[in-house]
Amino acid sequence: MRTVGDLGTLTQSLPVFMLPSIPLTFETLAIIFPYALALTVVGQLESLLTASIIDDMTDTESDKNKECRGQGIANIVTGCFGGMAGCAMIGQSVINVKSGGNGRLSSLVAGVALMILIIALGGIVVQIPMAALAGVMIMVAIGTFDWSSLANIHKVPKTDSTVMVVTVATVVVTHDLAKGVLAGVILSAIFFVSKISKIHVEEKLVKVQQKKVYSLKGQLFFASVSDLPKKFRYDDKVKEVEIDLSAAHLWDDSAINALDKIENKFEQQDIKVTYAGLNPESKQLLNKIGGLTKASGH
Amino acid sequence: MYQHVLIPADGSEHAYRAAKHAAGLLKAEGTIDVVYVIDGSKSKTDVLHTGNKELITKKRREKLKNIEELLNQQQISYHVHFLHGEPGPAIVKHANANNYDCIVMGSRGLNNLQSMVLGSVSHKVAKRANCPVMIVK
Repeated sequence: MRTVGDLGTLTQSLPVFMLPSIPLTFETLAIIFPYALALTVVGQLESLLTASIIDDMTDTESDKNKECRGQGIANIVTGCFGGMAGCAMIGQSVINVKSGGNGRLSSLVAGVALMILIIALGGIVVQIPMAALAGVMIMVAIGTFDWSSLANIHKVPKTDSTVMVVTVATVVVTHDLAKGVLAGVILSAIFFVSKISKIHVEEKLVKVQQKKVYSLKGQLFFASVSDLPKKFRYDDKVKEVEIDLSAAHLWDDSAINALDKIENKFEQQDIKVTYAGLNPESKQLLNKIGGLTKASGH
Repeated sequence: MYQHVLIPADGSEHAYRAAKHAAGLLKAEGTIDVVYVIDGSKSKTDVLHTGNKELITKKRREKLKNIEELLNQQQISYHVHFLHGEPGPAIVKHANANNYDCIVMGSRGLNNLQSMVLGSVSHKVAKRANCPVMIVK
């Protein structure tokens, strides 16, 4: 029967403080840095998530900056003892608070108990059969998994479910939590951009003044303006066109560019273009760089 | 007729029925306290699914919307409290600390698995609260 002892030796001596004896070269950094970055991102994320959950459970506020600083310092010091990096765990912290562990003593007790387990009771720990450990791990997995996310998978937006499934699949395939998180973050960013880059254009004809009003609704930026000019009709028999931007926001160069392009096209048909309802930030941007492209002869 | 009544609510139909009865039991100038208990796993799923603190509070408040509407309709003055911890003990602690004349609660709430055995929260409250407890079926 395989036991915990077969996995490797349980060192029962206390570690000593020393600076790691590695060559301090760029090569070492190149090896360590990717892992360090991945560990930091995952560890920090989980710690902050844990802090938010514990804040909600105890109805208190925690200082997230202090939390990050503490974790960073502790992990650097741990490295000098030859230990592994660590972070707050959601499952354990929830159990801890549920059982009444509200103060600092509880985390100290957890550490001391682990030390006693290894140093004083090491002889017993190595005899634990792997089967028992596997059973515990399965129960931990069941307890940790957020089952309601499965129940809600058809209720939440499809993009959200996709992000979740892709993240989990990436973690399972690559065995690398950081890659999964990265894939999830990138995918959500893409979904966010595609969601936000829909501009709604409404047209209204004011017959008396031979004027047409286009109302734009949405965020105007590089990803959203590419087919904006196509949404206007340049062959209308009107004298003036008003572009109502009261429900829109101009974000960058490309937005101004697109508006200039539209203005140009209208002017080729001898139609005058006016803007209405610009919000202050957009107005500032338009004043700063608007008309530049026109002046340069596009 | 009671002056100060506590309704533990969890957004379920049972809690709503309890609130109706509580309104009936109340003196003209009496007040009602509505408490909603958030336990550890609820905290976890709320934070994981919603993230934003203000949004979480809003969503929790929405769960009590039908009770609030009922009390507003009947022009009863009420306060809403959010408690954290295990539902049973948290309600008992709050009730015993605040001297209510009566607790009115549903026989069971949203948790179907536990209520198959018994309405565990109402059972605990009925056993340990120092004031009369009315359990509404």
